[in-house]
Amino acid sequence: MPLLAKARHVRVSREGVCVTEVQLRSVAKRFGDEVAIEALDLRIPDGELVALLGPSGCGKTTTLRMISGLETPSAGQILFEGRDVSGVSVQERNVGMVFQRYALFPHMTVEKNVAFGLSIRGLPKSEIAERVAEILGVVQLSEYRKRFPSQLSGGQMQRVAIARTLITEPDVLMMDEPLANLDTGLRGEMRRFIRELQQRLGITTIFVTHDQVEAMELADRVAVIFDGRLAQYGAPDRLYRKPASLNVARFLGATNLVPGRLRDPDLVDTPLGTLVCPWRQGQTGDAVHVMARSELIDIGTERTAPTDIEGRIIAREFFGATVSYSVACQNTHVNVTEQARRMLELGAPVWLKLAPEHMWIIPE
Amino acid sequence: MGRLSPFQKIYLFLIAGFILGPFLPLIIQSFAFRWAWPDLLPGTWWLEQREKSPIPLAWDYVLSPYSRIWEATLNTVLIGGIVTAICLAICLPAAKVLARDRFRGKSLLEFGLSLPLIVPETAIGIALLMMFIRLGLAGTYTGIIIAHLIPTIPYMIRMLTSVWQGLGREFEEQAMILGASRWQVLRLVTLPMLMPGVVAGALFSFLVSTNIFLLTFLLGQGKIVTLPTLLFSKISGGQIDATGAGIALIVTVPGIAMLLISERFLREEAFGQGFGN
Ligand SMILES: Nc1ncnc2c1ncn2[C@@H]1O[C@H](COP(=O)(O)OP(=O)(O)OP(=O)(O)O)[C@@H](O)[C@H]1O
Ligand SMILES: [Mg+2]
Repeated sequence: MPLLAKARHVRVSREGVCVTEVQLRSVAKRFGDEVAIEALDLRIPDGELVALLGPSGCGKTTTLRMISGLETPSAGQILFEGRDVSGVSVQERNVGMVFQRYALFPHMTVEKNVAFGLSIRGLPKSEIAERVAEILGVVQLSEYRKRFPSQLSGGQMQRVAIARTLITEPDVLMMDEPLANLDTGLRGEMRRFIRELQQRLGITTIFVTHDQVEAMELADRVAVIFDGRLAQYGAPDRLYRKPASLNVARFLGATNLVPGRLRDPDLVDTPLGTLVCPWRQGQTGDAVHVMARSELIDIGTERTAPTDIEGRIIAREFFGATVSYSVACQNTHVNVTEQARRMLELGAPVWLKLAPEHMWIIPE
Repeated sequence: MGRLSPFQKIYLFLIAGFILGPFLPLIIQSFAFRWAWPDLLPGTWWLEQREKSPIPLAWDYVLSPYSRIWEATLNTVLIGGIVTAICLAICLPAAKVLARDRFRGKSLLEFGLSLPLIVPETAIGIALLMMFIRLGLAGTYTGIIIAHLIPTIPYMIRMLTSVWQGLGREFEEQAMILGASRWQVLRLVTLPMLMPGVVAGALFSFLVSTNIFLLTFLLGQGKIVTLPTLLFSKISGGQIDATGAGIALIVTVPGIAMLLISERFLREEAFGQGFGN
């Protein structure tokens, strides 16, 4: 680890790789009159893989650019290992960034691209050659080292970009929509590749995506950002099961969001009837939404409990492994997804079971 | 690269003939002693008369000090080179701003930059002459170089603006993140990536400069000869003789040389196949 010694904000993990905790303290960014980031508070623990998830234009790229030092925050602080880095130039921050379109230098071969970060530091040629060979092995591109970027496929270009960044041994690795430019098959492959690499190196990694599935699968934690504000920050399963707001729930693909009114700490009046769900906050009469994930609702042709909700199948979609039903109950619709072991007929009367532990109340 | 179809061959042949055609009579003329209309070839050749004549003829004259051709070539190349260098130095940063920044009055500025291409050269030349005489710049290299910058800058700005537009910021930003200083970014990333456009722009402004007649003629005041002014003085009688033809051929040399050099240079740049994405 020859380069590491001189970086200041560094700790060394068990595997001998540097790890850095990144913290944003009410960071804001304005471009003229336009507010890109309102106020962002985020703590990214060392060695974790964190996804910034949000719709287009919500400020994800801007956040990465501020962490890397390409943009200066209008307000707030960015800390690496507890130290404010506002006075540290881009060059000295020792971060890595993989741009959305890779930004490979078109006039350099793969080898030269990868060696760039080391050769500008004036390392001895033999050491550079050794490390380039090593990292090209890691990204499995050894035989492409003499090619120019325009002679590579999208996935290969991306691996070159990752290798070029990793060779400088950054304290923090950032990736802007790393998978957006790849086709579906390659996307899965690169997703696994990035995950494995990150786990092996244990490097603090922040990546941007607007694809919730990607964020869920890759990240240790997901930060959902709407309009320059942090909407929710937590582990993927928590975001999925217990979204803090309607927007987060919708963005994470929730289909059944039933409006209701709190009657009791445990009871909610909804168009589906009075539902039982545990909820210890709020007051009687508060307007809430009840979220029930479509795959957590049981559907049956017979009533087995008094709390079952009666309905009728009005639409059916078959996805191969799963089948999705749209069920009309009272005056709302409920989506139910189940394994395609059986097929219920359109128009058939059915009974839905909404278990209290599978429902989640979202305050207004 | 497959073989060319007969049609393509004929097409290329016609284009080559169209471009190279006018050179043929010039070449023949430059070796002639007497070439009367409507003869297909000269009646008397220069070499037949070479021994008899007391004064140098045709190529002997063209290449002798009397013709001032060496002086004119040197001036032309020197002025062309300096104009190109200054033009690049002015236009590279200016084009960067035009390509990347948005500011008030930008479209007005862009329009203003193409004015020299719209205003007749004569008008510019006369106006400059009046100013330069007062400033003592008439008949000086400085004066001519300044005058040559006027028609070359608009072309160069346009070419370099589109080159800068093609170069996204992310390459430079990526280099900085990888630790490169501003100077390293410029030297290792920006300039090499701009190079094809810079070479094309430089070639173009060099060619424009070496072909400017009127401005050089007006502002050179006869003190500074360049190839176009020398040629003009030889053919202004309305007739072209062997020496005129010879000089006309020499006038094309700097341009052709520059073209070959830049061609070579661009090829060596070995840009895989264009700029990936
Ligand atoms: N240099 C800039 N000048 C002015 N406005 C900017 C600039 N950069 C970003 N913005 C604005 O800031 C907001 C956030 O932009 P940002 O690029 O961070 O979005 P994003 O979340 O990365 O979106 P996407 O998913 O489309 O990439 C946008 O409204 C954008 O228009
Ligand atoms: Mg973005």
